[in-house]
Amino acid sequence: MRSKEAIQIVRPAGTRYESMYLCLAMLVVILVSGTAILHRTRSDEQKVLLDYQMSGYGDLNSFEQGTFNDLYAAALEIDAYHDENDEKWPSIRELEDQFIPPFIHDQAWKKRGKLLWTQKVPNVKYTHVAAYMGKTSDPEVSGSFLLVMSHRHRAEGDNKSEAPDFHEDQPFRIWYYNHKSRLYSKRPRHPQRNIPFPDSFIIQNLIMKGWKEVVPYKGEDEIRRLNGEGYD
Amino acid sequence: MTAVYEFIRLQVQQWALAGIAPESFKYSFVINSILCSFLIGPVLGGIGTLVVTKRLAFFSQAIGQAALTGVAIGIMLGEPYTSPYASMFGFCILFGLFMNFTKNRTKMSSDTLIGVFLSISLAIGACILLYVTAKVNIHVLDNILFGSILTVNDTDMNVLLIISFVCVLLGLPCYNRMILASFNPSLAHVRGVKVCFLDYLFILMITVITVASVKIIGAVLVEALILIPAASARNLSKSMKGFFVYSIIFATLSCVIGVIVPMELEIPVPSGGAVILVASCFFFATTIVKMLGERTRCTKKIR
Amino acid sequence: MVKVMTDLLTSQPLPDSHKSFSGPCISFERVGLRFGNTTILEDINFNVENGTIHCLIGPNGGGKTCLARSLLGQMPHTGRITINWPAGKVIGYVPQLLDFDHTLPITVDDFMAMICQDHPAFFGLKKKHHDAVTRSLAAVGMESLRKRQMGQLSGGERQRVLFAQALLPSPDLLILDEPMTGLDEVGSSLFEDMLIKLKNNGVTIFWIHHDLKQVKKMADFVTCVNRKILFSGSPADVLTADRILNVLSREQAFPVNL
Repeated sequence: MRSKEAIQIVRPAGTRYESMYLCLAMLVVILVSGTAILHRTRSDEQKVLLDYQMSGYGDLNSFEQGTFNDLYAAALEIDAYHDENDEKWPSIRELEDQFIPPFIHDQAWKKRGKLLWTQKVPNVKYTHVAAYMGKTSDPEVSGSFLLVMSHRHRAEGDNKSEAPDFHEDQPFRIWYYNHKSRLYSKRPRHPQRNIPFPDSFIIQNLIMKGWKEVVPYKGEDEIRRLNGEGYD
Repeated sequence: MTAVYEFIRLQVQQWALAGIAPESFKYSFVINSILCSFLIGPVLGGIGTLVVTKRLAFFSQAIGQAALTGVAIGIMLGEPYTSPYASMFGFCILFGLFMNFTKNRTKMSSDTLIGVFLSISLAIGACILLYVTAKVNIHVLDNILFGSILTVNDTDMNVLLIISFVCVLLGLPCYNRMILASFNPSLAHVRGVKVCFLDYLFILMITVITVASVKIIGAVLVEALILIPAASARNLSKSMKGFFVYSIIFATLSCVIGVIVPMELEIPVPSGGAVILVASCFFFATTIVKMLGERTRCTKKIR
Repeated sequence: MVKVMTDLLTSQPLPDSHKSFSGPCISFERVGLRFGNTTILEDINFNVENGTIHCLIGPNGGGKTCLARSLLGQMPHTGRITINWPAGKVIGYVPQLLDFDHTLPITVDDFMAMICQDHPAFFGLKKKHHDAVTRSLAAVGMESLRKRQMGQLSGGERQRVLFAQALLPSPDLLILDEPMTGLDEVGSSLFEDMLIKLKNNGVTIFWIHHDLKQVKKMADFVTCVNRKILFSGSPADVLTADRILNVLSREQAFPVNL
């Protein structure tokens, strides 16, 4: 503590340094958190479209978009039905009776390529799965849609599902197939005119068969569309 | 770090299966929440003694509210809405530093100033939230406001662990000086304390520990867990030692009890609320003890 | 940070041994202080000789405390303040009051621990500081109250603790900011004894005070400040009846005269 310098000139206290260091500190905080935010959001955006996925906005024609939107809303209803009715899945007939589009045969249904709906409920442990396929009658107007519902009952415990490739993180996914679509320039090599109802609804299998998952578009995409920007 | 958590979880799960630990401990989220309690209790309890001594309770409340705005900004900028840590830390630190700077520069009394800043941050938060709710489910915000200890994941625990470590590392060696600086800045300066710097450091400390605890206790209630255990400890203790030790014990017990009891009794309340209610029980109990103690002392004197 | 104790306090309670003027001398040259448009001090010129008791008097709000804080390097003053240290550079400071919540459970020992160690006060006073703290508390007659809480002490007792704190480690320059406020008769005479002993050890004492009788009795030099220097010199010379009247009447006429 003792310095050799015996004569000390008392320096006046200044507040200059405080402001300087504070500005410096704030700059550092802004830079660091800014970089962190950029980093965290970018990794999210990359996930938006994988190569087996398609955009519900950019890649569907207006008829298909109508069907997709209806199907999306119907899926929520089906999930709720499953919850409330002793874990049963509604049949196509029941859905029609409840006037739930796109299952009812109304004017819109006629315009949108007259999709013919069938249902399959495979027997799987732990995860309750049901699939609804709407096969197109007019491939020029609309492709075929497949709605895969999966309802995992977590209440029984924390054990991991035995079939991790089921759609466990989402209650449902919507898939699309059209052998005429430009999406299939390469895969599958021999596009089938009559796509059969798949036997297995594991994601890998559906991809192999040529189905594409339709990712719903969000408000941001709509804003981009209104601004006249393309969807990438 | 994940390996360590995994090891602890497996160990406790085995105990639960063997019947040593309560049955609910076989779920990993229960063990996570207990681990967090043991981390957050001592740190907040210890910092609480400083906050009470330095009379900065209202300040830490403002930081908690700022965390809410931080969340709103984070969601707006596209951070994952369950853990928008970058924006929370960024905004709250800027907010705290700037508030202290303004306090140093103006002659306004600190409660007026904090009140003004608190409203500003809430106003910003409210404006952004309106935009944000169009994008995500509003109930996501419940977790941030009131805490949701059951959804704590390894990332949250890592953040909490690192921040606690930093706070202990900074807080212990500077503890005396931080208190002295608030007692008499002039005296502290003569004693070689860098008063201004330590003020900022302390504010930084409160800010980061508040943000790190938001996921567990909730933005609105973190400040309560800083304040109430220290206030209860003050009722009982006669020296710094008792003050500090009781505060840590009360804070940790509040966390553990507040987490376990609702879970065992299957009461659906947010973890933050339960923790603070337990802490308040401690506070009222100690207040009664103190009142009784004073009465007996008075009667003794009269005799 | 924690300064080593020098030999001043090693023998009980304060020895009259003669250190050859270890205290510094201080010179104020054209010192001024302004906050915004308010001038608090201007053109302050005087010297403090080493090993003397130098009292600073003046009306309330006349800038006494600001001058002391300028000397401590805590004010944005202008002009030049020079401290010439012949030996050690330890400053002891007795503040006017402590600003703390009186219900806080902080004992006298806790406070002393806070002053002299980095080791957190709640872990208790360290062994190596224990003896020194005991001696300095004994010197002000507070040893028996060391387990008492600070908030439960009377104003005078708290002043004694603040004084004890300034003796740790033994100072070369002692700056007192009206320490007699709230002090009783016993405490006051105890203070006088202490100050004389310290002075005899060569400590320079810079003392802000308002009790003119005590100033006349104790001080080697006295300076009266009210924004400017009104007078400065040895008490016998400058504290004439006229001037005392003048200072007192100013004090009454302009109690807060900035």
